[in-house]
Formats: sequence, structure tokens, C-alpha cells
Amino acid sequence: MNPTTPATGPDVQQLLIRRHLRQGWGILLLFVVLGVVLETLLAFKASFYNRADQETWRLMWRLAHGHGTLLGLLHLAFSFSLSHLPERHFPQPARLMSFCLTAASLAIPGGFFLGGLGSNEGDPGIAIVLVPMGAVPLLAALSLLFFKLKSS
Amino acid sequence: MAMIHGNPASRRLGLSILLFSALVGWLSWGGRSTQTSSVPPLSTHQAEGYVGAAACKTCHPGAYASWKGTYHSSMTRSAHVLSDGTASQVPQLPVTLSLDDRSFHIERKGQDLFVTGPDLDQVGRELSRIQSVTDASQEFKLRKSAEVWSQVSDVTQALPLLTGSHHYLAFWVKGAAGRPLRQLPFVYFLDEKLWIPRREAFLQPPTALPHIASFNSNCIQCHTVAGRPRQAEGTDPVTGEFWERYESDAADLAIACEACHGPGRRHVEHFKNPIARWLAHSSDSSQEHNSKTLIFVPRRQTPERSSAACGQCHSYFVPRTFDSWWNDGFSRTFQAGQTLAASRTLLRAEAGADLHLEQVNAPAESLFWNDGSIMVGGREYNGLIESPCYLLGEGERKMACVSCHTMHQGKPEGQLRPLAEGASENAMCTQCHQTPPGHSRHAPDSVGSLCVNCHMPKTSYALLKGIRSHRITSPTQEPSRSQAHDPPLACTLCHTDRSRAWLEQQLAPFLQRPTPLPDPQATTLPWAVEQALTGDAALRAVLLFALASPEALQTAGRAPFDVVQNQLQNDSYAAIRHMARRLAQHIEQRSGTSSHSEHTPLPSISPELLRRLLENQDQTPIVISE
Repeated sequence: MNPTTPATGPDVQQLLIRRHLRQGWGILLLFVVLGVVLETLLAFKASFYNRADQETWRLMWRLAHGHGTLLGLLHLAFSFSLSHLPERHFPQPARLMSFCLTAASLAIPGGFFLGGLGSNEGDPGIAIVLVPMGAVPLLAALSLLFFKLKSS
Repeated sequence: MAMIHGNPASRRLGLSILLFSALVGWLSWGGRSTQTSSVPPLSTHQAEGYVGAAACKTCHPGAYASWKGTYHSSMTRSAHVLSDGTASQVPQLPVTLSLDDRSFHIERKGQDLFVTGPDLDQVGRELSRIQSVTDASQEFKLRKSAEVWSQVSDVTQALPLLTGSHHYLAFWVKGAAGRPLRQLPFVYFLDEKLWIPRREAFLQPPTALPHIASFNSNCIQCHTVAGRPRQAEGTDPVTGEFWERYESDAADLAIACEACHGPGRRHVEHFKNPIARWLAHSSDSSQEHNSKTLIFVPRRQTPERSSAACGQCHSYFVPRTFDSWWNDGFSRTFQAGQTLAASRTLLRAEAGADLHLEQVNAPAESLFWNDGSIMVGGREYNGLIESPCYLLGEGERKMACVSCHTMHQGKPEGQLRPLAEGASENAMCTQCHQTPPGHSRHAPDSVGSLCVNCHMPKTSYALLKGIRSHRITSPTQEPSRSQAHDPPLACTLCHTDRSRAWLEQQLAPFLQRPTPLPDPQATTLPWAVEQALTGDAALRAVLLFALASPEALQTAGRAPFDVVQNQLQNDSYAAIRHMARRLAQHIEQRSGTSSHSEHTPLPSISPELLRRLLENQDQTPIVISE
């Protein structure tokens, strides 16, 4: 798309659909790989990972894997939903929903992942604050999409 | 709705799913119900701010898991561990054991254990009554005590509680409501897979009056967290009979988190707030940490207070106030982080000190050696506070229990900090003492160069073995061992083939006391052998164990042990007989034990000399029921 030309509704729609297809499959790939790594560490009883005092770390990374994978699927569902959204919702609020979903996809699994890295016995590291911070745009995106689809 | 109003096939499918779900639910519930104890061993309380170890697990999974790997955690357990796969060593059941012509049949019913045999509570009460008679002779009491067993009828009672997990299991019988848990008169030795009468597992003379131990009136104080006997007693106004009743409870079974860290409720409540947790994680690790975290962390506290947390159990004491103890135990008068003075009177071998012998039910000779060192194993705090490292040390160089031990790392045996941290065992001492080369006067890397073998010899006794004295001493500073009831010299415990004259000669250049004059009566007999045959029961037990130790076998071979073992397997003390048998088995099991040929041959010991030594054996009664 030429950045100097104002995007039309159908252009933005196609752009967002392609973007979230890419993001969805990319995030899925990333977090499925993380899942495989975690399973491997469990399977081979990697001592640094399986120690009792690393319980919080394990939990945080499992949550990062789980949330990341589900958010990847959510991107794909969002991409599919965009094609059913009336044209009047493009570029806004569709762009806002897209931004919120992308921000949540970075903050939520990232918060769990980094919180796990900085964990201290029973508590995750301070990066865990990214999780509630990511939950806000996620809720916003889901709410917007729900109400726009309902009203259309 | 479709299932109810649909076609018959749908209804059948729906009904099948419903029935299947109900079956799965019932099985799940049934499985869960077998996990719960039908006979709870002891009620739990949350008085005085205690919350129980389960509350610690969520936030401290590593500390919880490392504690679970210690013998502290399995000190007191529900007997269910023998059925649910938790315990690694389980006695073969059912089993029938005999004692004084009475049998005890122990069997498993579901997850519960039961024993059919004489009503132990009734036996215990009768024995106590006989022993409390003040104007009767020992012989009379023994005879009457022996008669008690035949007067009591058989009952089937639950065995809901176990104590011990390292050396042996003790079993506790639950009697009628309000009655104390009574100890089964047998213990199960784990390494030998052998049942032994309890009275034969403890060091006591054959003339000792029998008794049936009560968990609620004694063991509860150290085998649980904040155990409360909650005993009431009185006299029935109609019959005039004395009665006593127990409603005992504890914050936790075993030696759990709050035994060493103090009551946890304030800590738990405070740290439900994540911001409080984050602030605590970012705080320093100084002593101020204890006040910030509202919990006691021994290694961050002063040596006096951190050691008192261990000393609450690892010392010989009597309660400061008996009346309050019988109700609340020490739950109100002591919590980790405090000194022991308010709750306990520590028994010390100072001149004129009251040893409270009536309360501890043991002769003075059973508590301390002549030099004032505690003789009873498991009472290491008594030794620590008499040590120069504690008395003279200051600040970080004042020795505390945590200087050498760690409760959350390393092997459960000893829980030694240097070994857990990858250092050598000598690091316990070298963290403060820089010794010149040759200090040990033994070959480097030999057992003689291990600091503790000379400065903390195994001269305490418990559990059929010698245990390291925790009163730090030096062989060159100790007085000559010439009195009866002196502890054995550290050198004797390895150089078991050497005479007293030889040992004195080796020590002479380093002694900080006058060298004793040569004894014209001195024999060439190895001193360890001589003392093991002529000493009192404590000395015999400690030396018998030393003679079979890897250090002694490496230094002197097994000939000295064989001489002593041959005699002490017929000792008047059953515990010493058991030791003689067990230790001989242990030596046989160790392959490659050197024989006589590699070591200095022992001087011949004629039957006449042996007889004379045994005739001179010290018959002072010794009772160590630990």
C-alpha cells in the first residue's frame, strides 16, 4: 500500500486480514516451539528446570506457552471475523481493535515469559505486571468486535 | 432437553452418559475417601498464630520440598504412609510379636493399622501406679510390674501415628477417647527390617522398671509443632478414683516449618498482598529482614537466638512451669526467635546445679560425663553452649548451629552446610580457624586429619550408636582420662589397638597439662578394649560403636572389635547385646575390611585377664532412653 494514498475501507480490511493471518500463524509457530522446548525439558528431566524451587518459573512459562498459543488462534479468528465486519468499521475502529490485539499478544505471553525469568521462589518477577496491562487492550478488542458484529 | 424429549436412541445415549458420569464420580469420591484418616492421630490447632506447613508451600516450594527431604519432616507421621506408598521402607504386615508371654498382632485394614493385644493404656496406668509407690522396694515393683501384663485383657486398637524414619519406626496406639497415645512396646529397625522390644532398643539396666511411653505427656513437645498436652486431672467425688484426660493437639505433626521459623499467620496474612511480597524481595538480607517479613529466619539472626530454635528440642531440659506445660506445652512460652529461658530450665553439669533427676527419670550418670559433657545424643545444644567456639566467639565468629548445619540443603544425614555447598567437611572449622600445616599430626587426607574426629569425637550415645559430641574439645587440653565415667579420649576411638601408655606417649609433646606418671599397673592391653570391657554401660556402648567404625577398622583392623564383641554380645544390657550383633553384621556386610595381618597384632588376652576385666566392670546403672 502506498503510504501517501489514504487507504479505503476494503484496502484496510484486506491489509488487516493479511496482517493478522501473518501474526496468528507466526505467534502460533513461536509458542508451539516454546511448548515443544518445555516438553523436552520435562521429558529429559533437565535439572535446572525441574528443581522444586523453580516451580514458579515453570508455571509462568507454561502460562506463556498456553496464552501465546491461544492468542495466536485468536489472531486467526480475528482475521476471519474481519471479513464479516461491515465496511463502515474500516479503518476505525478496526485498526484500534487490531492494535489492541497485537499489544495484548505481546504483553500477556511476554509478561508471563519475562515474569518466569525473574521469578523468586513463589513469586514471578516484576515483568508479570505486563499481564494485567495486556489484559486491558485484549478486553477492549474483544468488546469492540463483539458489539460491532452485534450491531451489524 | 433433547436428551429428555428426543428419540429413544438419544435418550439411551443421554442415560448412558449420565450413568457413566455418576460411576466416574462415585469412583473418584470413593478413591478420595480412602485418603482421609478414619482414625486421626491428633487434632490440629491454629492457636498462637500457627498456620501449618501447608500454608508455606505455595510461596516457598523450594524450601518446602527440601524440608520434605529431611528426617525432620518425617519425624511424626500418620500411619497411612505405610499404606499409601509414601514411606520407602515398610514392615511386612500382618505380623505377630511376642513379649512376656503376650502377643501383639499388627495388621492393615484399608489404610489403617490395628493392633490386637493387651490394652496398653491400662498397662501403662498400672505400671505408673506401681512405680509411684514410694515405700516399696525395687524388687517388689519389678515383680508387680511383671504381673501387670497377665492381668490385662486383649483389645483391638488403631495405630494411627508413627514416629521416626531414620533409624527405626515407633508406633502409637490410640486408646479410648481422652486417653493418651501409648507406644507399642516394639520398634521396627529400618536397616535390619527387624522388630525389637522397645525396652531392648534403649540403654537401660535389666532391673529398670518397665513403662509404656505416652506421646501426649512427653514426646508431643518435640515431635510436633506447638504441641499442647491439654491434660486435665482430678479425683472422682463419688468413687475417689484419680482420673486424667487428654485433649492434645498440635499445630503440625513432625518438625515442620514453624518449629524453626515461628508462628506464620502474620507473615502469611501480610504477604497475601503482592506489593508487600515485591517489596520484601527487593529488601536486604540483614537481621532487619526478620522484622520486615514477620517471620524468624535463623540464619539471619544472632547465634544465641538461632541456636535456641534448635535447642528447643536438641537440649536436655525440664519445663520452667509445669502447670502451664501440662496444658499448653511450650506453645505460649516459646516460639522460634526467642531464648529458652522463659520456657525451659536447661540441665547443666555445673557444680550444685539442680539436675531435676526426678523429672527426667534418669540417674545423673546417665546425663553427663565426668567432664560435664552431655552424654545423651540428640542434645547437641547442651554441648554447643559449653564450647569455646560459642562461649568465646563474637559476632560472626560466634558459633551457632547454622554455622555448620543447613536445614534446606544437602544430605539429610547431618545436613552439613559445607558439604551442601561443595566444600570439604573441614570447612566447618576452617571458616574461622586457620591451622598451620601439620596441625592434625596425621597424614593429610587421612581420617585423622578430619577436624571433627579429634575435636568432636563420637562420645554421645543414642539410637544404638555413638554420636558426635557437640562440645568442641581438644585432646591436648583435656584432662587425663583416669576417673570412672570419664568420656573416652578421642584418640582411643580410632587407635583401638593401642595401649593407654602408647596414647599418652604420643600426646605428651603437645599436652597442655602435666604428663601423667607411668602407671605401674598399666597393661599393654589396648585402652579401648580395656575400657569397653570395664566401663559403665555408656562407655561400653560408645566404645563398642567406635571399635566397629570405619575409622577404627582402617586404623587398627577388626581384632580389637572381635575381642570386645565376643564379650559384649552377652552383656547385661540388651541394647549393648543388640549393638554387638548389629555391628558385627555391618562389618561383615562391608567388603574389604582389613584383617589382623595388616595391623599391629594385639597382645594376647588370656581368659583369666578377660575374666578379671569383666569382674571389674562398672555396674553403675545407666538409662538413656533416646
